[in-house]
Amino acid sequence: MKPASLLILCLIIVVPATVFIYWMSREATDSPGELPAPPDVSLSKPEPNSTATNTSGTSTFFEDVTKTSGIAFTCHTGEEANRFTILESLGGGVALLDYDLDGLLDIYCAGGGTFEGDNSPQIRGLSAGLFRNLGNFRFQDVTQSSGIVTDSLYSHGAIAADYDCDGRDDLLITGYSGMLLFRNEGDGKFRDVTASVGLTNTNWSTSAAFADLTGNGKADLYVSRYVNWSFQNDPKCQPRGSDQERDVCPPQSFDALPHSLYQFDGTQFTDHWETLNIPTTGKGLGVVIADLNDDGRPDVYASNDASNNWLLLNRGEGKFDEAGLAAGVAADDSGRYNGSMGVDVGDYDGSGRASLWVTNFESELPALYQNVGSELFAFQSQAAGIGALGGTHVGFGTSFIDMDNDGWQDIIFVNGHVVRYPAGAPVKQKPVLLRNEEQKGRRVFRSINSSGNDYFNEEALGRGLAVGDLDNDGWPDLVISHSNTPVRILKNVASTSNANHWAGFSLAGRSHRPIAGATITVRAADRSITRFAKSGGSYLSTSDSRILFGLGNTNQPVSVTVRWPWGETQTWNDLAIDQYWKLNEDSPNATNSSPPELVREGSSER
Amino acid sequence: MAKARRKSKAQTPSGQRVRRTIPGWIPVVVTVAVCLAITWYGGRYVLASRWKSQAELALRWGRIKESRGHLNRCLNLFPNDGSALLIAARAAERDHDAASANRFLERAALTLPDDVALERTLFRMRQGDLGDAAGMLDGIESQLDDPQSSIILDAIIEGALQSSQTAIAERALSFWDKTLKDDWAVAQALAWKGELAFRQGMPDVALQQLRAAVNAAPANDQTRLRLAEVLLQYGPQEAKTHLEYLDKKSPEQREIQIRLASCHRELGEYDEATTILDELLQKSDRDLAAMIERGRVALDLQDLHEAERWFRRAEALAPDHREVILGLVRCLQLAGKPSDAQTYRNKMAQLDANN
Repeated sequence: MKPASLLILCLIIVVPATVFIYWMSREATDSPGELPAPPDVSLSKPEPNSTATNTSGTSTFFEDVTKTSGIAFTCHTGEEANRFTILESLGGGVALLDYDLDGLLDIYCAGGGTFEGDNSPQIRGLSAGLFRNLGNFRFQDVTQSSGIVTDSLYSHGAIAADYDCDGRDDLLITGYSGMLLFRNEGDGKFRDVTASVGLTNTNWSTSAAFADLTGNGKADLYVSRYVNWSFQNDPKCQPRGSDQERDVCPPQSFDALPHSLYQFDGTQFTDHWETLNIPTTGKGLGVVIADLNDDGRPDVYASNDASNNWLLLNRGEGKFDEAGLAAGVAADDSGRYNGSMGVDVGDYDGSGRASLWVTNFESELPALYQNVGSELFAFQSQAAGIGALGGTHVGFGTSFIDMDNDGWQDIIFVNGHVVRYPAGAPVKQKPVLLRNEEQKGRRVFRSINSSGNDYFNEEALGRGLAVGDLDNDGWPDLVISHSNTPVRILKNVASTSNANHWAGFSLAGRSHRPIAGATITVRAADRSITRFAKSGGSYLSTSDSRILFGLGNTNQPVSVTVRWPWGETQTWNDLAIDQYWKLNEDSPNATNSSPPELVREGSSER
Repeated sequence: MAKARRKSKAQTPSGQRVRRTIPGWIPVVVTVAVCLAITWYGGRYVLASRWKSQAELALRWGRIKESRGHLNRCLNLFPNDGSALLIAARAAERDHDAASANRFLERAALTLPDDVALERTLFRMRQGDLGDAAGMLDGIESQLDDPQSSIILDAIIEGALQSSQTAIAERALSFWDKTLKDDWAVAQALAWKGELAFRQGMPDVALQQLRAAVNAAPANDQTRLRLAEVLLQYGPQEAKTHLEYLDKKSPEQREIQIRLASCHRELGEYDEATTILDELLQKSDRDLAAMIERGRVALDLQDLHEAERWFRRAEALAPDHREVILGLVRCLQLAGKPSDAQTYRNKMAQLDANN
């Protein structure tokens, strides 16, 4: 055989073998199956509030009327002094009250405070703002003439309540170094009565709520207190993941202060906190009082920062059981406490029971504790769609709100970080608007920020939030405070594309006794809707004390049943809808309490 | 005499030289045999080398199952290939298959005892035993170009992250940044930095780094999985897109499926979560993670009987597992069994205190 033939023979053997080997080795690296392109990864932070089209068909729920309202007020924290104190992180709240009894809700805004002096820094309070509602979303600054002077207090909380049961809303201002109680004198002026009623505890106070906790017809007072920070106890904390020298310290750097549970005898408040024997401490930021176990007595739920939340079940005769853990509302579904701030009570699932809603720190979900009866609550954040938000919010002011009057309570909460150089979430954050919808037999909340208005796509340091019908049109409006940027007024305009009906009720207890703890049930056609008269709630703020019921497309008169706190149950029948009614305890007649001319004015723009 | 005999073989009696004739088929057979031998041995060698390098590459990019597949084929051809055995041990160790890893190392020790000794040290480091790390880092600092540096740094960084020894991780990462510049090294560094930030309580930074790592190496499934894990807490909707992609790419992978089920639960998608978990539990009725997640789903849906059933089964497997105990606390509490719930709550408090 010639060499050429041998070569050819070699090639005949080697070439196919090489091809075979190559094929064999390729085969092993083939990608498995047909794959879609990998999901995009945006290097920027993803939008936590997934926006969606509004299934109710409304284009927007709110209109920002701040510019024309005459309110240009800012709660300051004093951060410009670069003291990096934890005091700066709390901000201030807002209160809605009809202080002049003209039928329109007025607005009180906490002023906050600032720091003066370099070597021996002084904490100074800043002036609050009281704005009289002139109708049609126009307000007049009446702070000067009202007699409310808050310069002595670095103020946070704005709690409106009729503490002396004279039929007029008074104002309790909480803050660093104590509280201020202003009695409404009825002539458009307020008088500082703090010392004379015994509210002399100078510990740092945050949220507070008045209610008749003992059944004596007087307004007792729960005050949440925060931590033992002072300039003498002011450690230097460094931010995580930043080259900055200093940042605001976390609450873990300080000890919790004891809260206060004042019983009021008509002239003096006496603190009975020590008698409660609560075994744990709590860095209190929020509190709400309502009947949470359906026994007719007002209970207390306190949301605490970096410590377990408390559920104080009212057993009567001034006795309370702290049942947070046993009831399942002390911690989240990991069994660990949250950094809790804002809080509210509502019947989001139509069960007639009072469920709890709590806004929390970043990396934690806002907590929805569904009341399942028998003093038990189920953590339902995931089941109710809240899990989809992710843990990116540092939530503060919040409320259940039936913004479209469909009879189902939606949720709003405002957000913003507490430190200047956060590593887990942005400093300024968007508010969140959640619509309550039915899905596979469950009530779930879906983010509808795009249907709110531009405000819901703005990042801010949201703190206080109050919900109330500022124009008496039956559609709940919003007042929101921020740290170091102006308060915003958002008018509810859902009625422009929504024909739902409503009914509003103003509850008047016997001799003006506090009504927090009452349960109100409206029966309309085949629906039964329950709401709860509460005190406190949200964060450092006070919402409209009237109770609004969205009735959906029900257009028939309704009947309403009130179970008064510590008292009887009363029913009123055949009440016309789309108006406010005043329900007096012991009186069989309900009074139409809608100021007609104001309703016309409020409705005329729709 | 002997001389005469040799001559007689070479010459005829007349003295003429005779040309020996070799049959024509012999060269053909020889050539074919040589070619076949070359093809056989060369082919096996080429194939094995290629599979080995593909295994190494797959391991680098976190495709551990694929890597182990290549190595199996490679070791079928050359069962005693020391370097292949070392890579196989590494792949098995990353696949949490310690027994196989050990077997591979024992076999590799016959040919590469020094390398195996180093590999065993690196294994310990990966588990968080970083006693030798400081010395090794000092050594690496003085010879950053040593080809073994990357393997050692890899082990130290993994171990430091595992044991939350962040200072060591940061130092090793700084060397890694100085020595390795290729795409894989850059992507790997981003992934580690993301993990480090997460362990330092900076989830925002962690997500930024992990996203950058996935962008730099979209085919790195391990990094994508880690990104999805972190996103479960901060952006479950985004986590779901990654997990669904990974599940499609590597079907039947339990690790991915469990997380996808968790993600569905976080989003309130209970039908989807239940389907995945029931399939996993059908495959293995001792899958603790699936059992716990299934219990959570039932608990969210307030099917307390079902929830307790799953948590009780999990308790039989892992009586001191915090999530099992927590599940039982929540179940029993909602079922109106406060004293039973309290017993488990006390147990959980004890566990938390010990940890």
